[in-house]
Parts: sequence; structure tokens; C-alpha cells
Amino acid sequence: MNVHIRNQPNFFAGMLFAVLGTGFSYGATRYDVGTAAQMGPGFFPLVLGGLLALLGVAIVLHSLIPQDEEVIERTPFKPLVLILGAVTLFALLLMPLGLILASVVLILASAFASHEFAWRYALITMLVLIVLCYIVFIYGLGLPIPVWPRGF
Amino acid sequence: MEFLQHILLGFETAMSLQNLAYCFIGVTVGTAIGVLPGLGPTATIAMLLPITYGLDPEAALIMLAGIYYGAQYGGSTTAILVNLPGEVASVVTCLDGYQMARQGRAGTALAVAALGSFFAGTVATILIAAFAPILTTFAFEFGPTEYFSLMLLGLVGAVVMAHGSLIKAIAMVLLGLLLGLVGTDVNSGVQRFVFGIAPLTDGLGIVSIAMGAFAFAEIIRNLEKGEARELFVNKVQGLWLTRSEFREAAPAVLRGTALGSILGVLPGGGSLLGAFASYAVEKKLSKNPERFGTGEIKGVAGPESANNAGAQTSFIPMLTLGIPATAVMALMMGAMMIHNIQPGPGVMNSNPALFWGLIASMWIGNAMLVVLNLPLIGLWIKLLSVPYKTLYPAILIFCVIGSFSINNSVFDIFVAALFGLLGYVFHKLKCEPAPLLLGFVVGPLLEENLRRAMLLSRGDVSVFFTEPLSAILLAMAAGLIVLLALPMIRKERDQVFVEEDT
Repeated sequence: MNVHIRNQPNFFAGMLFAVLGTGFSYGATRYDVGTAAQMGPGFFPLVLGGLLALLGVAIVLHSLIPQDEEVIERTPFKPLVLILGAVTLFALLLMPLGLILASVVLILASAFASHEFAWRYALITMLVLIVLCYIVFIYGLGLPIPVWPRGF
Repeated sequence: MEFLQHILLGFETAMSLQNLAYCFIGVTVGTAIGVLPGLGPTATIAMLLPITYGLDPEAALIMLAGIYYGAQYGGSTTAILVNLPGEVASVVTCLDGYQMARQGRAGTALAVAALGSFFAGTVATILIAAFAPILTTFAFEFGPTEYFSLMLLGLVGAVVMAHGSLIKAIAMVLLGLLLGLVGTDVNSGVQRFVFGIAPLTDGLGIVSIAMGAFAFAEIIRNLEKGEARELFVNKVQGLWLTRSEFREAAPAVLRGTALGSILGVLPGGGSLLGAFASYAVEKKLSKNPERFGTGEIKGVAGPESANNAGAQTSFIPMLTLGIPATAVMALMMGAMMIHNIQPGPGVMNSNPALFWGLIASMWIGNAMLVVLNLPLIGLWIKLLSVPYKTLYPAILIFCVIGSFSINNSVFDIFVAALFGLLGYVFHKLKCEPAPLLLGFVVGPLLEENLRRAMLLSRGDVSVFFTEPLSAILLAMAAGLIVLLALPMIRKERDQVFVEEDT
């Protein structure tokens, strides 16, 4: 049988919902499901997960019937990787290295994602933002965030 | 007399120096994000929510609310001057507002937008003050059965009003409901879907989810598109209306206010729906509909009044019933819960100062906005020249620090990054993130009420259909879905949202 995906976004969205729904339902069976009158912690997630999985399957099937073709738009991965990478790096570095150095990494890494990247401009933005954040969060709001690397 | 006392209490709260200051900060920030394209109110409120943790709940909510309705004012400036919607609800304003600007009538367009918004804001404030107490008394009659059905209706309504595929929006709500269950179950103490990760026992944070799915995903999308934007900025003059312009615009403002107020209360309505509906109505009623799209003043006056009215009346279901109509309202509920206030009919009695203070602050905020947006318009035009490459690192760093500060833990930053990825993937798959956020907030409440209702009925599901009030609510929900499934209405709905996608 030759299956042709007519609507790519719907096909993959449906798959994702089906997998997540099944996962939640399966996870819910590990908790006490109980009865309709005395619902256990597993009851609601089991039902919701099942519904989500069913909807997912329906969306997948619907994406296969003849209709106007729709493909997933291809775009460069650079902004996605750089932005989320920069955020993750910040989270990893904040406790050991402190706010200032983690911010340097966050701002420079994310600045590379711009089409108009220029070192001079990125460095100035970085300096201004770090000073601003220090004034707002550390000096102003007094957040208990380590500012410098441990041991300083 | 009671009404007067409430209003007095509200103004007393809102006029305190601290709350006035936070109201001012809120509407200023709101105008700024409204002016800046590519930065929406949901992302901004998520970004600034952590900063309000240390404030009184009154100050926090007054400020956050100011951001939301302030954004409606700011959005019109960008729409008129640059032909870009600074905020989604301003899409329609671009059509005629920009044309007016090109004909050298930018000042007139800005003035009618701001004055129309102010009028709409005033009316909406009075409407909230008048109807919120009635709805609250009504809501007190609700048992768990009715509440469950009401929440279901709210979620269905929000899904129906959202644009894009209906079935995918329902799936997003379900996913949101499931994510809302992560953490310790209040009834049994069982930890669900925690996987031994200690910070997850308190559940996922709404702020982290909203930051990821809205702020981060928005930034990534903007960077993909390329950030160059054309500036069509010249000196704006003549910020006032002539007598004949006033006479032309006034009926449109009245109709826009009425439409926006009604549609704003509906789940999922918010500010967007009213603006679209008002434009359509003005065009239909006009003797010369061909003038729309070429700089017709009614095409600016109506939608601009409607979006501001809608932004404010969408607070009604949240404040009185504890049901979020839009993603922004979901975050407002999150903000209340952080201050240990359970959103719902109880708020008016348990926190009257908060309830009435917030309402009074809306009127004060609207007055501030007129001043901010007319005499100080030059300031906002300058803001438009801030390049995006400066803006997005600033948003990022505010988000990560804010997200850290919620629990003083980097875990929340990881959660935000994960939801950034999810939000991005969902966008690629043409799934709207707003229903997910609504489901997330409502999830635990829905489960709690379902459990109670079923316990009372001894496991009999039919109770939802035999209790009259609950049956009516469910019938309304079913009716909405059936209506939407009809091909004719589907087509109309798709048409309404077509312009927004471009």
C-alpha cells in the first residue's frame, strides 16, 4: 500500500499527540485509578491521555485523505539551536560561574543568531544589558543570585 | 449605595501612591511592547511576572493588567505609522490607519485611536464594575457539577474562537490539562509524572511554560524571518480631530465599544475578535464601503475602540468565575495563585480591595494612556528605531533571570528552554500554544470538580445532563462545536482570520 501524506503538519502533529497521549495514559496506569465515584490519582490522566491519543490518531488519518497538499516549512536551524542553546548554557553556568559570566555567554551566543551580527555591536549590547540587569535584579530587587564564580 | 462604596474602595486602593506608580509602570511597559512588533503581551507578562512576586497582590495585578490594555494603545501607533501590527489586535488598524498616515493624516488616525480607546476603556470599566458582582452572586450557586460543565464550556469556547484547526486546538487543550496534573495530587498526595525529579513535585510553572512557548519561540521565529523592518516615520502633526471627523468617528466608536465589550467576555474572545468584528460591521453599515482600505476614519475608530473594550471585559470571566478566556488571563490567574489568591467568585468577598482596586485602576490607567500616547507620541516613534538585535538579547536575559528567581532554581530555566523547543515545534506543525496554556491553568480545577461531582452522584455520569444548569452549559458547549463543524460557518470563520495570517 502506498500511503501519501497530504498534510505534513497535521500528520506529524497527530503523531506527536498520539505518542504523548499514550505515554500519559500508560503512566497513569501506574497510579491507583479507582472507580468513577472514588477517583484515584490515575483516573483523570488515564481518560485525558486516552482522548489525546485518539485525537492524535484521527488527525493522522485525516492528514492522509486527498486534500490540498501542505508541507512543513523548512527554515534554518541556526536561530533555534543558538537561542535555546544559549538559554540552556546560561542555566548550566549560572550556579558555578555566577550571573556576570553566564550572561556574557547567553548574550554573545544568542547574538550570533542575528543576521546582522557584528562583534562591536554585540559587545556593547552585552555590556549595557549586564549593567542594567545588575542594577535591576541584584541591586534593586536583591535577588539571591551568585554574581561571580564560586570562591571569589 | 453598596455599589458606590465598592467604587470608593476601589479608587482608594488604586490611588495609593504605590499602586499609582505600578499602574503607570504597567501602562508604560504595555505601550512600549504594543509599539514594538514581535513582542506580544503574553510573552511580556510572563517575563515580568516574577518581578511582581515581591509586591502586594494589588500592585502586582494592577501592573500586569496595565501591560495588557496598554499594549492595545501602543499597537495602534505601529499599525498606523509603520503598517505593522505592533500587537495582533491591531492588524485591522493597519488597513485604514496606515493609508491615513500616507495621506498625511497620521495625527488624526492616532488621535481617533487613542480617544476611541479611552472611551471604550471607560465604558468597559463601568461594565465590569456593574456586571462582575452579579455574575459572582450567580457563580456562588454553582456546585462542582455546574463548575465542571462551566469550565468545559469555557475551554470549548476558547478553542472555537482560536484560529486554525479545531481538532488540533482541542488536542492542545488536552495536552495542557495533562501537563497541569504534573506534580503532587492534592487529594491523594501521590506524585504524578514526576519521574523522581524533585522540583517537579510542585508541578510545572506557568511562567516557565509561557516564557518558553511564547517568548522564546517568538524570538526564534522572528530571527528566522530576518529582522529588517522598514521605518516610515516622519513628524506627526495635528493630533486632534476636526468637528466633522469627530462626528464621523463617534458612531463607529460607540458600535466598536459595544461589540468589543460583548465579544471580550466570551471565552477566547479577548481583544482580537472584537476588532475584526467591528471592522466588518463598519464596512457593512457604511454608505460607501469602497472607501474602506483607503484611509477611512471609521475603519480605525471602530476596531481600536473594540480591541480596548475587549481587552478589559475579558477580565470579567477570570475575576468572577475563575475561568481564563485568553492566554493572558491564564497568566493573570497564575499571578493570583502565586499570591495565594484562588481566582473565582470568592475573590470579590475575600479580597475586595484587590477586586475593586484593579477595576478602578483600569480607568486611571486608561487616562494615563491617553496622555502617554498623544502628547508623548514622539517618544514611542523613537522606540521604533531600536533594532531587534538589541531587543531580543534583552528579552532573553530578563526571561532567564526572572524564571530563575521564581524558586531560586535553575530548573525552571531548563523547563522554559524545553517549552521553547515544544512551542517552536508546535508552531511548525501549525498548532496554537494559547489553548495549551488555558488547559494547563484549568487542569487541576477541572479534575477537582469532576472528582467532587462524581463523589456526590455516587459515580453516576448522567448527573451532568440531569442537573438543569449543568445540562444547559454542556448543551451550549456542544452547540458551539456543532456550529463550527457546519461548513458554511467554518468558511466565514476562516475568512475572518485570513487577514491576520498575512
